[in-house]
Amino acid sequence: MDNNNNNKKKRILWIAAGLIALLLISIFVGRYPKPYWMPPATLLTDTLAQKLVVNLRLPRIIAALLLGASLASCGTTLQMIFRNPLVEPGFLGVSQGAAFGAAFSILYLSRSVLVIEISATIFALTGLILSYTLSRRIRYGGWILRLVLAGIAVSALFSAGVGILKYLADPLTELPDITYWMLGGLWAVTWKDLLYVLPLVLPGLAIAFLMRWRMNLLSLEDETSFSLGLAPNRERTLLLVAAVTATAAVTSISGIVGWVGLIIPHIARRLFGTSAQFSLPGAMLLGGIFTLISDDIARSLIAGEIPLGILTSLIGAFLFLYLMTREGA
Amino acid sequence: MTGLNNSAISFRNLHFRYLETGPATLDDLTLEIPAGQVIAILGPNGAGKTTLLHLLLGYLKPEAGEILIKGNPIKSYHRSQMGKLVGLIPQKETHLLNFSVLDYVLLGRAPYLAPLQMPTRVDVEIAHQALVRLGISDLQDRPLPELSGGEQQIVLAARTLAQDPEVILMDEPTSHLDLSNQSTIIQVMSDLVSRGKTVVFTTHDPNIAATTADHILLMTRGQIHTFGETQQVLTEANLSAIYRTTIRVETIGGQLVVYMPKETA
Repeated sequence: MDNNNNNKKKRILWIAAGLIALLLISIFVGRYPKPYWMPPATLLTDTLAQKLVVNLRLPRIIAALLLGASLASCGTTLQMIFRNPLVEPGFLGVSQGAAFGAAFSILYLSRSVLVIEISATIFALTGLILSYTLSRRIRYGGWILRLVLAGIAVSALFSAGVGILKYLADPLTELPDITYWMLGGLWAVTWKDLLYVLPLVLPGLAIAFLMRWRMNLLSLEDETSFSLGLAPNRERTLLLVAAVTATAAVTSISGIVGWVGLIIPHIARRLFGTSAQFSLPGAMLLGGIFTLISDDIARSLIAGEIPLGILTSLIGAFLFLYLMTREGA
Repeated sequence: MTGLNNSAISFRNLHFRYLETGPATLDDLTLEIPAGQVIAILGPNGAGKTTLLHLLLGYLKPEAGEILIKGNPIKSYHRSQMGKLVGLIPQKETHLLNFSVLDYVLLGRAPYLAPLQMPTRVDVEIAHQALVRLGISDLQDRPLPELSGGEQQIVLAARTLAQDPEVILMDEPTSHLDLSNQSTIIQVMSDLVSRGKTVVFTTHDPNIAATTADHILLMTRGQIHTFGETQQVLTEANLSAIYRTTIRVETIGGQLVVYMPKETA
């Protein structure tokens, strides 16, 4: 076991090293001065290249890392707490709730990142609460199925709501904003945006990380975790609010980016085992890597930008099918 | 107040009902349970056996009355203190995630760890020793859902050994087990008691109670029918009354055997 843990720690360190290498490489990936790659020496002489890296690429790279880590951490937390390997933010009304909140804000409140962020967070939490409450009332199927069904229904409700908002939106000004936001992407991220979301994202990630072993206990039946000296309801609520808040906040600058929260925790559990002591930090790192690679492709593959959400869904869905058709979980 | 130190658990005029307007699940229960013994709670379905365990755990709150553990009301204990005092081996855990057996047993160390603390090398060793004591250390790296129902039940017991509480509650510990696993659980009980622990378990099987318990609590419809030493409680008159059918008790090889005669079955 000690050996086992040491191996897992080593694996975490290797993945962290990989992430740092990827971060450095990502600085030079893009379409300036020519497609795909900027020779590092350019940075020493070309002032435009310097501005580009500092003002556009760096905030974008950091946002991609935060986005991936938050989605993967939220996915792990939801899967543990609902004892259900098939839930992710997009399945429980969290993402669609955030989308509705953002669209609502763009249309009726304000287009400032801060207001979009708060509105998205509130509606994301509402989505989670609605899904959970509904699932307790559904009189059909087991716990996993009921939760997924409730999540689908709540997501559909919010999607319909977004549809209505889009219909009401001004087709020349507001509609493009909402549509681009829904496709998911990081092209517009600035340092200021990051500054607004960090106060919600960092505590959310920190709470999940610090409580990662405790999370295992909260995946047990209620009376069992109670008998082990926990206050399960209070601690579950804290973790859920932390996870959903981090996700909603970062979603407010990225738009909807799907599949990361489902697929990355799965891969992390294969590499590190079910215990969140290692699978949660593993998922955070892998989530960052996955999203950063996807975003590098999104901004450099073609002359225009490929929406990030489309890329992660495409890659994620294929990975999911691959993992599901192989043995083990 | 004398004698209080000898009782691990006291129930004082305990009332409980699940629905505010519903029937009483427990009706004015008063009882002193001695420390360092095995106590079986025996009674028909719906007698309130599991409810009593959940009240003891503090998981359910009584409508009136109170429960004392080691002389203090359970309300006065902090949650993590309760985790060191009372442990539960449930009938079974459903919704099992893919934990390895060792990771799962390690969860028993929770009451000794602060909310943000990771288990230490010592905790891992204690969890490993719990598996050794139950003879299943060879299973420690296997995923829990792949084990048989009986093996899973033994793993739940191992988790509670790692938790090492003063009072161990077991909800129907032998109901899903074959004879070999039953004997493992029975050995665990006597092992715990020899180390000064108190074991309280519910069962439908009077013979398991006869084999293992020092004291038996006979319950029917939320009330105490009889409480006392095993030999005195397990009588034909008592058992026939609570199960409402003819039941015979005989001594074979120095051991009580409870059975239903053929003509009434």
